[in-house]
Parts: sequence; structure tokens; C-alpha cells
Amino acid sequence: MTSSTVSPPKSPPVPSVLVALVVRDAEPWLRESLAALAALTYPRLGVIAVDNASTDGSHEILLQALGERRVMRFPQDRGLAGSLKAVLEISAAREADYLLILHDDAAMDPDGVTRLVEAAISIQGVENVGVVGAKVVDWDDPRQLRDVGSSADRFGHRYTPLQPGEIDQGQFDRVLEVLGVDPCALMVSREAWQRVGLFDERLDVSHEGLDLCWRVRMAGFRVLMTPLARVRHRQASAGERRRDRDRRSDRFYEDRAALASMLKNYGLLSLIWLLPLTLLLGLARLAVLALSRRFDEAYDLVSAWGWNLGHLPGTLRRRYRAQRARSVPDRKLHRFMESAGLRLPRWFEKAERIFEEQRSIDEGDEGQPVTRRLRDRTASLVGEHPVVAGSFVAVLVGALSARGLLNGVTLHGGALPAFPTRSAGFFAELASHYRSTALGGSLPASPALAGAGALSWALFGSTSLAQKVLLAGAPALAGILFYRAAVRLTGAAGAAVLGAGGYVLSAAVLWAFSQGRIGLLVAAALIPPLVERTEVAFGPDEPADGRWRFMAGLGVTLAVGIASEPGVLLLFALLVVVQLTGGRSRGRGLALVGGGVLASGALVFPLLPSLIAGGGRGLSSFIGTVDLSRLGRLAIGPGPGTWLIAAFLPISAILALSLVGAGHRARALRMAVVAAAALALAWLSAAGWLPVAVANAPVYVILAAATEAMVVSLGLASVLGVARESFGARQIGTAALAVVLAGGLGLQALSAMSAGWAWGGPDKIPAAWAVVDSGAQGDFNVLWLTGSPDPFPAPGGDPQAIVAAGPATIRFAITGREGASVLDAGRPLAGPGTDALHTALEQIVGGQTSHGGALLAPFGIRYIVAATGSLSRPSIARLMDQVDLDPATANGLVIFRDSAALPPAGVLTIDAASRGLLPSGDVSQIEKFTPTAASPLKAVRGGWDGAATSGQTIYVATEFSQDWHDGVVPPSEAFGWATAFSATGAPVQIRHDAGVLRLVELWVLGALWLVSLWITRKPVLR
Amino acid sequence: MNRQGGGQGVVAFVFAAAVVAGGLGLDHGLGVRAQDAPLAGGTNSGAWLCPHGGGAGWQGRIYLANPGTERSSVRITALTGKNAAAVQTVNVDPGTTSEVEVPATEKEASTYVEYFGGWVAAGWLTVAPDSSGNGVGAEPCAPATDARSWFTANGGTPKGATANLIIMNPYGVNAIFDVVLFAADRAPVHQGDLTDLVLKSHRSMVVPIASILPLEAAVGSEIDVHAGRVGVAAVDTSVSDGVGAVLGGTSLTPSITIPALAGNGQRSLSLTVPSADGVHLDGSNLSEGATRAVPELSNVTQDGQTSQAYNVVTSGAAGLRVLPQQGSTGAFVASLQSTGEGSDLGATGGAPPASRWVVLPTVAGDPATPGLVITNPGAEAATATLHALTAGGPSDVTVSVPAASSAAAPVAFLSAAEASGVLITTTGADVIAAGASQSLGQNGIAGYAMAVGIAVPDQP
Repeated sequence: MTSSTVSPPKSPPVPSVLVALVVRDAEPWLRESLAALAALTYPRLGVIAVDNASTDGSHEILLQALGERRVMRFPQDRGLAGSLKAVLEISAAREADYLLILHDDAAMDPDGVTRLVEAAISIQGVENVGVVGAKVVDWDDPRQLRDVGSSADRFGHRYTPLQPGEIDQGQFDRVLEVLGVDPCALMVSREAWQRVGLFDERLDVSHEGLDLCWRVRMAGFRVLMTPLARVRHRQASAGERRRDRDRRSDRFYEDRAALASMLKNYGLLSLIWLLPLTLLLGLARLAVLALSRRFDEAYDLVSAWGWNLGHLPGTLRRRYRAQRARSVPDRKLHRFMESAGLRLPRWFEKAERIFEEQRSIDEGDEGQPVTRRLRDRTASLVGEHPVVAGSFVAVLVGALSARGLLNGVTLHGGALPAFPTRSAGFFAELASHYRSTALGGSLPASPALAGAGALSWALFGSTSLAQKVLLAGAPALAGILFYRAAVRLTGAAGAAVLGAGGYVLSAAVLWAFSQGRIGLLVAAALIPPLVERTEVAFGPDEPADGRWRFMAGLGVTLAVGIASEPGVLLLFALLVVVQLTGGRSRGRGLALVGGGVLASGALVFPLLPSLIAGGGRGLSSFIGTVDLSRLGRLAIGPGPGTWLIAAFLPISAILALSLVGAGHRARALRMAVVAAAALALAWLSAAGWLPVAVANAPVYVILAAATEAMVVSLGLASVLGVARESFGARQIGTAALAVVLAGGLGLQALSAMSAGWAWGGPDKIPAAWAVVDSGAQGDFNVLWLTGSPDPFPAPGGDPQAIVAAGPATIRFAITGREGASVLDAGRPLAGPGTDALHTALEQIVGGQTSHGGALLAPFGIRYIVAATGSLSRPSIARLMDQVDLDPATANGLVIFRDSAALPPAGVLTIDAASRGLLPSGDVSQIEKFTPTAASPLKAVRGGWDGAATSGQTIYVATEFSQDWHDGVVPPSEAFGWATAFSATGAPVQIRHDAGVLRLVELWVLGALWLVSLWITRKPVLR
Repeated sequence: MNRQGGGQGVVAFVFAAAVVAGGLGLDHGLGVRAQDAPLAGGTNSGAWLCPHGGGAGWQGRIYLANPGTERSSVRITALTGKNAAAVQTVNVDPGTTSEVEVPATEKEASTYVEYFGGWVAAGWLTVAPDSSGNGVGAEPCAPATDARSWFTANGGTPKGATANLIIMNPYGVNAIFDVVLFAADRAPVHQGDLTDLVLKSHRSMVVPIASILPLEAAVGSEIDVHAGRVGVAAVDTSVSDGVGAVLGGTSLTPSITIPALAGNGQRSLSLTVPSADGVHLDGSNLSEGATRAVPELSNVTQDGQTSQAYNVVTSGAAGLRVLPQQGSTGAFVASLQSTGEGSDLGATGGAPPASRWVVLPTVAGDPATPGLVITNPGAEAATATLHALTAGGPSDVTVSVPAASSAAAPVAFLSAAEASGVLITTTGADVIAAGASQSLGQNGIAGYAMAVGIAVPDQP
């Protein structure tokens, strides 16, 4: 916007102005509008009113005020554009120098028209004015500004510089050159409307003004807003008094108009880059809306696109006219638009508001000492707007902490699972009839892959970008969801914000973030809502949103958690158990959570076999710590933020527990019991005392972190106003809590911001990994070993199973050459292949075989990898005893190469003796198996291809199923679990044929998700 | 209000204290759960490395003896400097001994023995034809090991004789190693062409010691492996093509006992001290019936990084024992070199005492005088039961071995089981057993071989 000086009007001739008053059902305020119209002082003023099918007394009022000659009436609503079209059919109207379009709920000051005309013709150096608008203020409270001219972002969305409810303090009192003005009082010159036409009748009344002004600008005319002309506007159309029942959301009309305006008003070159960008941003928005279950809004967005598609011919016709009138290129209009078209988020506006308030504080505390003023101001700022202040701090800390994600490098390191190279990889695995990772089998992939795939697809098909977004987004989501849960339980936003900070900066969450444990981070995000939901379920009152919606919502939350980290089921069980012992409405609570669990079961039903496979191995984790000091500060493993300072959260929780008020006491006590039980279970998990199915130290520790943070929130909510109480233990406790919490949060934040996370670039992979990664060609599997409950070095991920062998006990996992894969999210290493691998390893670490390489060969294992020092001496010795496992020189890793390894899929040439061993699952026979030669098959989508001659054996290290076929001969079981074929000489094409079962499963699953999401959808604001 | 707050604070801290106490209770009371040992059964396999060497016209045999109760399947692979070739897969029934002919026409010829099922003992026997009769060499094979160092104590390198190190690599990756040679009164030899030697996977090689250190009374070696794994033996041939073979060891010892029997009684103890610390030793002969002093080994001192020969004369069943004297800090490897009644060499190393032994055949053919000696270095008498590992073999015999003495097995028993291994089970004290036989030629004395037995593991 630019400003110019105003000079007195020049001498006559005075231009003629025709006021076109468009009226519809305006009886309550029309008299006042007409009175204002009658008071206008402009000398050459004509008035024509259009009654647009009013059904109240508006028509009679118009006739009384203006007489029949000046009133036109339509039996049907023609809208503003249609009404004006009818007006301009009158020759006198067409001849007027200016047409002033006035809404029936707008009342102009008496000199309003004079000021508009002055702005149009009398400003020196400002010629060729096409449109002039007035300063629009509120009808009832004229101090409130409604419009002072507007601009648009590059995508056609209107942008106003005004804050909601902004008070007119003269801050816009200068003539402004703008892109658009409010159409409630818009004066357009004859030259302008004759050249570009008037309103696009297809657009909503709120948006047709901007569209008209844009076209006027394109045609080389100026668009001005003069503050000297003031109009009060009732905004009756936006209010309840004249709202259409069938009217859709404002956002729908805005999106519709924005896209239509773009299509009409931009030049071709601009459209070439703006249209794709619009589509991408729209898709991102669509994804966010869908993820937040705002389906109505998502539907509105799609509808807006659909409307534009359906009205494309009309748009193109209007575009033709607009472009014919063009005399100004797009680039010259950019100065009237918002830069880059991306408006700052709304909460920056809120921040601005805060600073406005701060200014008022400045004015109010004159005379106070500066330090006192600053402190009070800061306290006031944070106290009044804890969410905004917390958000600012969180964005700052988060941005600095996650700065390592802002580069083009694919992430490596920690326990970060490898993502497929293409987003289609997620969907392919999800739809696959067989498991393409590890040792195959029929355990289906987690539905979480659909989400990851969709995210990758939305992010330009970049899976590495999706990986970063998930990694960065999950802790942020954890903070947000914690805040939401805590504010519901405590009713205190500030306490919830601090609790959320404590949770996100807890050692457990920071460790998960450092390790790149996306599944666990998603679980961490969902734990607070689960805690809150169980509190509600077992609480004294019925769920506010009804039982069905509650159960569906709980089911969705649980299902997302289980799909990402099945151990969520364990922590939920703990929450329910504590509620059953300490909750209030046990019967109702049990029914509600039972319903929720059933709903979640339905939403992840393909995953259910995975949860129980291997004795519940899918629910478990083989990592953890038995170090009490570590557990006490919620540190599962080493990493940034797991230092002693991390004890701030448990200490704060104890202090908060001592301070919590009567209203929150029972709840806080339940949380404390959950935290204590979770820590005990974490220790028992890591120490090996719990059955595999319930041993999952990481989720227990994260639950402890969430509940401790919740205790902190409850305690903080209870001490609000403690300063007004008489001094005593509560004040001392509060001060101690404040010191511990502030110090802990600050130092944890500093630690996070300066952290060197376990993830990063390729340098986060041990250098010795090159021995494996670059030292061998083709596909192969890697067997990862550790003797302790620690994760493997990158990229091995976590142990998946354990082989008990006294002091030589090992934990193991098997991966492809790329390491742990996200395709195995929520899917345990279980099945006949895993059992066979377990047996083979039992033989090796039990010291019973010296041919471990031969035993591991059928699994396609070419390398065995462990972190230096992670294996016990006996287990290392047992490995060294193997004559066909060759230790490789590697700094930082213990690596053995299996010289007997078979390719995961290959063609084997074997002698008669070995051929006889092939069908045997007996390890004493398998260890004698030695193929003469082996050549790999090529992995293709859905199977393997290659060539083999008759007499050779085709071997695939994937669990046996009759559904495998090579088109000629049926498969046979090899080594008791794998799949083999006798080659016939025909080209090898191994495929899996399991019919349509999986497809049906996915369709049913999709339908269930749609239903549940629909039930739990968020209402849209109209 | 404040009183209530104080009480609540106490409750909170009591709760916290209870949690901490519970944690400590778990930690001290339960601790980390000890993992069960794996169930026995399933597989039982192992491998033997037999770096026996060879030469033009040589014959090689591998003896496989199964003292257990489970049948064993044995896969035999021959290695040379050029290739590895599967020789045969044989089954060795419990309580029997099998003999497998293996190639031995290359100097570096070696054999890799893998067994599956029952435990078997493996040893080699090579026969080199010479002008005066036959040269016979025998030694037990070495168990597969990941040892980083190997040590040998060879015999001398007189003019016309050969002394070779046979190094085999039956594993899947190349081996890289250095060889250091020791002799008396000179610095260790680790010249450039003996460092960073690369032995390819599934190959064997020979290091000709005699051409590097000729005319030495005793040569020792140390093989330091940087990458991969190997097996090592020293194989000497005399001027008359007699053969003596000593398996390399993977560790040094401060004391040793080496049984001896037969031959002409003229023996030479080769003693190599690879480390910098010298040794101060005293030797004795645990001979049949009594312990006798060995003047040549009385109170001897040998510097570190040297190899020396000590001539010893024994008769009958003997056991040469070498013990450290006060102040001796070094450790060594030793072998006993002997000459048969013909001109053939015989050599073997020592071993720690054990209660069960398998002694493999040291007889190359008829006519033969098989011999087996049992040395008891302990303070208690031992009773050894000898069982021939062959179907329909002679009845078991019992041999008493007084403390600190040696005893020979009855020749009649051995003659009835010439080509079979003998399982020796002792009570009372642990012993060391070795085979020492003369065979071939017109009088059955052309060839002479000594080979220490193989201690049977606890759970074969």
C-alpha cells in the first residue's frame, strides 16, 4: 500500500455519481441505511435501489423512502452482480461518471460520497482512478475497523492488515493505494466498469469485490481507499440475521473465489508456476485436514476445486475479457500483494496482539523500577498467553534442536529405520501377500505404512523428507497432545504448557528423538491422550461427546499407537489396571475402554496376528536398562538430555504431588502410581523377569515420563493463587517446584539445542559398516547380535529375539543390507524362519557346532555384526569357534563374514548328498549342506526372476508357502522353513499367488478407518 | 491449609521413598535374571587342520578315530598352494578308526577335516620314500582355532636337510601374517619377505626355513596373524629324506612334558623362547620306573627370542619333563626330535595332562613295531585302560603308570590294532600319551614316527 497527499477539490464540473443500493431482507436496519443515504451531501447524486426478492418489509420501506421510480424489484434473488447488471440497463445509470455500489447494511457518513469523489479526481499525481473504497467501521461500534483496503496473497486469498476487533486509532488514516476495497461501499468509474465489467456473479458477496478490483488494477486503473469517507457496515450477511441455512463454510467460498480469480486474472506465465504450487499446497492442507479429522473442511476444499473445474468454461470466458482489458503485467501488481503469497501463521498475529498489550503495560507502569517492570511484564505476558509464549519457545528450541534435519542429506544413525526409496514402497508392502523383509512369511505390514506412504506421497514423493517430517513432527505432536490432554484434566493452560515442556524435554522423549525411533515417538505423542481418555472413562461424568464417539475416538488413538508401536497396548493395559484399582466408575470405564480396545482391534485387524506371533514378541522390546539411576531420570539409553539434569522431571513430580490440591489429588495419585509401576515394569523388562509379551522397557519409561509430567501439571494447576495464601509449606514447595522445573526445562532445552543427536548424515553410521556395505555385491542379509539390552549400532535397529545360553546369551535381529526397515514397523521377527534361526543360533552360542556359517547360510546371512564390547566373552568365543564364520577387521564393530552364505534368493548347484539334505529341518544335517555353486536371482516386484538349468535348485530364503510358484513346478520346503523349487530349465519367475484376500482385507480396513474417522470427525465452523 | 500441605508433602515424599526403596529392592533382591543354558543336542561339529606337507612320491593318510557313541560324518578337503579339492566324505562309526588317503605330493599339502555328529580325533601320517627305506611323519591335527599366534620348535637345518613351515588356510577369507624365525645366538629373523604374507582362502603354503636359516641346530618360529586364521606345522626332512613333523602350538608354556619311546635313544629337545624374557629351566626324564636327571637340561638358561637344541639320551618309555626354575619368567614352545633305529626322524610336541586320550596310529605299514607311551607327571599313580578303536579289536588292557614315570603299552595289544586309534582312560592321575612306532623296511625300522595323543574333550 502507498500513501499520497490529499489536496482540495478543483472547480466544477462535478462528476455525477449514481448510488446503486442493493437490498434483500433488510427491514431491521434498512431505515437507518436509507436515512444515512438521504443525509449524503454530494451535489450530483442519483439513487437507484434494487429489491432483490425481499420477503420482509424492505420493499415497502424502499418505496416510502425513494418512490417507485427509484426502486427496482426482482421476484428472485439475482445477487449483487445480477442486480447491478439490471441497474446498468438504465441509460441514466450507464451515463453516470461513477457508480457507487452500496450494501443495504452500510451507512455512509454525510460527506462520504464527496470524499470518495475527491479521492478519485483531486489527488495530485494520482490519475486514472478506477475504484475508490471507504474506511469501513463496525455498525454498532464505530471504533472498530472493518476494512481499510485489502491485498491478496499470490493464491488469490484476500488479506487484510487489520487484526480482529482492531480499534481505529487513526493508524490507517491516509489515502492508501490497495488491491481491493470492501464492496459494501465501492465506487467505480464508468471507464473502469465499461472496460472490465462489474462483479463476477458466481462469486460470493464477500469475495467479488476483490475480484473486481484486481481486474480494474489489471486494466491500468488505480484502486484507492480513502479514510475520509467512512461507512458503517453491519455485515448482516456474515452475521446470523441473514444467514442462508444451506450456506457452506466461509472457507469454501474463499477457496472457490481465490482459485477462480487466479484463473481469470493471472497471466499465463504466472499461472504456469502458481497453479502447480496451489495444487501442492492444497494437497498438503488436505492431508492436514484429513489427519486432524476435519473432513467437512477437507470436503469443502475439494468442493471448491470441483466447483472451479465445473465452471471452467465460464471462467475461461471471463478470463478472455479480463486479459483483453489488461494493460498492466502481473509483476506490477505484486507490490499490492503479500510477499511470496505465504501469509505468516495466525499466531504471529496473536503475538503482535500481545506486543500491543505489552505496549499498554509500558504505558501503565511508569515510575516502577525498570527491572520490576520487565519482570512483571514478562510474567504478565507469559501468564496471559502461556500457549503462545510456550509455542514461541517450543518453535525456537525445536528449530535449533532439529536444525540437522534442514539439509538434503538422507538421515542415518541411531535406531532410525530405513525408508523405502519411493513412496510406492510403503503401499507395495502394505498390499503384499508376503513379507518382503527379514525371512518372509505371511505377517502383514502395519497399517501405519499407509500413513507413512501418504505422507511421502504428499511430500513430493520424497520418503526421506517424510522421514524428517515424522522425526521432527512427532515430538512437537507429543507436546501439543500433552498440552491438550493436560488442559482438559487440569483446566489450567499454563500448567499444561509447562507439563508439556517437561514431557517433551524428558530424557525418555529426547532419547527416542535422538535414536530416531519414529514409532516410539508416535507412541509418545499418543500416550497423553490415552492417559486423559482413561481418566475420562473412569471419571465421575459421562464422556461429553457421547459413549460411541468416545469409544471410536479411543479406538482410533489406540489403533494409531498400536500400528506404530504395538507396545502401546501394554501401557494402556497398565493405565486401565490402575484405574480399575483406583478409578471411580469402574463399570462404565471398563465398558468404554473395552469398546475402545475392540474398535482399535478392528482398525488394526490385519496386524493382530503380528501381535501374538512369537509369543507376543510384537508387543515387546528387548532393549532397556537396569541401571536404577538411569531409570530414575527416565533415561533408557545414553544421549543428549539424559544427563543428571534429566532428574528434574521426577523431582518436580514429587514436589508437585506434595502440592496438588484436593480437586486433583486422586488423579495425581493415580498418575504417580502409574509412573511408579511403569518404572518397575521397565526395570523388570530389561532384567529379563517379565514374559516376552509384556516386556517393553521403552514404552513403560515413556509412560512414566508422561504421567510424571501430568503430575507436574496437576500440581502446578493447584498452586495457582498460592501467592495469595498465608506463607507456609505450600509456598516453599511451590518455590522449590518453580526452581527445579525452570532449571530443568532450561538446561534440558539447552542440551537439546546443542545436542549431537544419534541421527544425522552418513557419518552417523560406524565407519566399519563399510566392510559390510561396500564389501559385498548383491542382496544379502545381516545378522545383528548383542549381549546386552541395548540397541544395535546403526543401521541395525533393535534386537528382535533372544537366545538364552547362560553367559553366552545373545539378542539378535536379521535385516537386509540396508539395516532395519520401517516396513517392519509393528511387525515382529517371528515365524518358522525365525524359529529356525533361533535354533541355529542356539547351536552356535551353545558351543555345539563349529559350522555356524553353514547353519546360518540358508537365511541368506552373509555378515554377522555386533558393536565392539556388546557381546560377552563366551559368545565371542563361540563365534570365533565357527570355522565358516570369518572375523573381519573392523574398528568399532565386530564383524563376521559367513563364507558359506547362500544368496537370499538364488540358483544352487548341489551334489546328490547335499540335495538330500535340502528338505531337512534338522540342524545336524543342515550344517553339512554345501552347494557347489550359487548364483543370485534378481529381486523384482512381487518375487524374483532369473535363469536356471534343469537339475539346479532354486532357493528362496523366505518362509515356505504353497502360494509360491515358479509357473512350472510346485514349491517344496527347504531346511524346514524356506522355499525351494527344482529348476526345469525354463526362465525362473517366482511369484506369490494368494488371491484377493489381502486386497479385501485392505478395503475392509480402509472402510473401517473411514467410518471411525467419520464418527470422530471435528465439526466445521460455518 | 498449610498444615494439610505439609502432611501431603510428607505423603508425597514417603511415596517417592517407597518407589526408590522398591527399585533398590528389585535391584538387590532380584538382580538381572540369569539366562538359561541352551538345551544340549542338535548339532556337534568341529574341524581339524592337518598341515602335513608332502613331497614328490609322498603318501598321506588321515586317521579318524571316534571314541564316542555317535556316528560321525567326516568331510575331507585337500589344500595346496593352487586349489582346494574335496577328497571324500566318510562316516566313522562309534568306537572305530578310519583311514583316508589324502594327496601329499606337494610340499605345502594340507588336509582340512570337518566332522559332524560324533566327535572324532584326527591325525596325519605321511610316508616319504627314500633311498634307505622310508621316512614316516605323524602328528595329531590341530583343532580349528582363531589363534592370533602360532609357535613352532623345529629341528636343525643341517646341510642337505629341509625344514619347512606348512601353513594352511581352510577358511573363507585370506590370511595375512608375519613369520619370525629364531635360532641360537642371533637376532630374530623377520625380514621383509616374511612379513605381511598373504595366504589366500582355501590354500596352503610352505615357508622354507632351512634356506633362510641354514646350518642351525634348532630353528623356532612365530607366526603372527593379522587377518584371517591359519594352522601351522613344522615338517623337517633329514639328509636321507627321513621325515619329522611337529604341529605348531598356539600358546607358550613355562613347563612341558613330552613322552618318548623307541628309536635309537638319541633325542634332541628343540626349545624356542619367542618372547623377550628368557627362561631358566631344569629337565628330568620321567622314565619307566623312576625319574632320572638329565644333565644336559640341568639348570639351563636360554635367552629370549632364541631357539636352541638340547641333546638328550633316553631308553625305553620316557617322558622328558622341563620345569621352570625360580626366577624364570619366560615361556617357550618345545618339541622332541628323535631318530629311529633307521635314519628316519621322529618328532612331536608336548601336551598338558588329561584323563582321556586318543592316540592315533604311528605305524606306516608292515613290518612294524608299534609303540605307545604313557607318561604320568603327577604325584599319584595312574591306571590307564587302553581300548582299541576298531571293530573286533583286541581286548582292553590296563597299564599302571607310577607317579612321575612313564610306561609303554603292551606291544601285543598294539600289534593287534596297528591301524586303529587307541582310547586311553585313566584313573588316579592325569597322563600324557603318545604314539611312537617304527615300521616299514626289511626289519620294520625304516620309518620312525612319534605323535602325541589327542586329549578327549569332556563332552565329545
